[in-house]
Amino acid sequence: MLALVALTLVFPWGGAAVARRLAEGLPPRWACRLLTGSAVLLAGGTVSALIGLFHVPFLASLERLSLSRVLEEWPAAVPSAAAAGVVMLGQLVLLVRRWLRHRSLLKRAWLSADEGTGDGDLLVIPGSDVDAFALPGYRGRRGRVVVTSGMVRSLKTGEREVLLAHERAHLAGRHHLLSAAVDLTAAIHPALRSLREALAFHLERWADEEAAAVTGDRRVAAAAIARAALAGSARGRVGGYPLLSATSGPVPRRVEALLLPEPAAPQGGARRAGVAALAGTVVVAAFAALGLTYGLHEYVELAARRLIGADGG
Amino acid sequence: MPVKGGDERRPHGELVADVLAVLWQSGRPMSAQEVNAVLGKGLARTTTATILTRLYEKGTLRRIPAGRGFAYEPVEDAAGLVAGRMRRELESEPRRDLVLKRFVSSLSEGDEETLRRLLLEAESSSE
Repeated sequence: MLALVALTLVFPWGGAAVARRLAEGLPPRWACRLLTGSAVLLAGGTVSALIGLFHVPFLASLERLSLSRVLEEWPAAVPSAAAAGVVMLGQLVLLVRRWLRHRSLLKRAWLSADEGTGDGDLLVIPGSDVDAFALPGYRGRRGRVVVTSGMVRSLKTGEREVLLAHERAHLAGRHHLLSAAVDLTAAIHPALRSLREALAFHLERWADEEAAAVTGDRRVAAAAIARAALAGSARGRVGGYPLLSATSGPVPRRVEALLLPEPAAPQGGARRAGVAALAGTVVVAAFAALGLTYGLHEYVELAARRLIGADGG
Repeated sequence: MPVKGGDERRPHGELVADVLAVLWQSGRPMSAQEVNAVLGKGLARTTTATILTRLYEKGTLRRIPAGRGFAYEPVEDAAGLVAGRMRRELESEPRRDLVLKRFVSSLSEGDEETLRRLLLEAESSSE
């Protein structure tokens, strides 16, 4: 039984790797759903295993067993329950803190954008630095596309449309909610942190594809992204997070993807079977983890019956 | 509801946003006719003129007499500068990109080289 618990707690490392690998072969929209879905399922499995461990002593008391009898059967019951409790408390604190930070960031972003001049869903804020982002809705206010005048000036006419379509795709698809969900699951299991970055990339790709579809020209979309990124980096990197690696970062990969034909769902029986098998693994593993909680419950109940039986006899 | 042309079906907000973006991009005052020409969406001149007048009344644009009508340009004021400073403060927030989806993230030095090449490639075949 303990081996099963340990397996459930270790499983997300494997599950996250499989999900990332699987996402690479899918069109961006599906990749995002897959990554978010597996993050939530794997986090759910972790929590259910922890709850399973945590409630062993309570189950014992429900069965009117003295704790000392349970400890005779399973000496690790109390320490492992305590450990699970501490871990869950830590997770709860992390979850609340992350959620509050998201909200405060959104609030401050709205405050800063409030002063911008604009109408409709576009806010242009003055400034020579090149920046543009989607500002999600907050307290009943609808989401906005915030663009610095520096960004507006560095793009050509058709490319500006790409920018607006890209950010509108983020808003319409509520991409910030997917990001937030995966960020919160990373507070539950450290293995899920790797999904955060993968999701961020595929969300950008999703919005890129939508923008290319709206403007009808993949090459213009590719040029818009390349030009905006180059203009941004020429203005200095103050405050940004320059990637220190010499390997290709996310932006060139996005541009390259737009210069290729639109990604289609995998073709052919073999590829479909492969994708289905991988997807199946993720789902089955998550359900196995959920099943574990039930299993633990049963186990304690069984042990209890045996002990009561021994008392009687 | 009367039947309208293709572009009229777009949400009003988007149209206003496009008009505003044209003005920010040009960097000089423009008349309704000029804005229309740059937009190239085949809108009625009066549609654009109405949008520009509304933005002027809201204080988003200022206007100067030009020919028989007005030319419009965006207002850059102190409040905007404050907004710019606050936004730069947000940049140092590590979780910024989880909440605010930005158009492009920062680049490594190798990225710049690759991007210049890709930009040339994108432009050479689109024109």
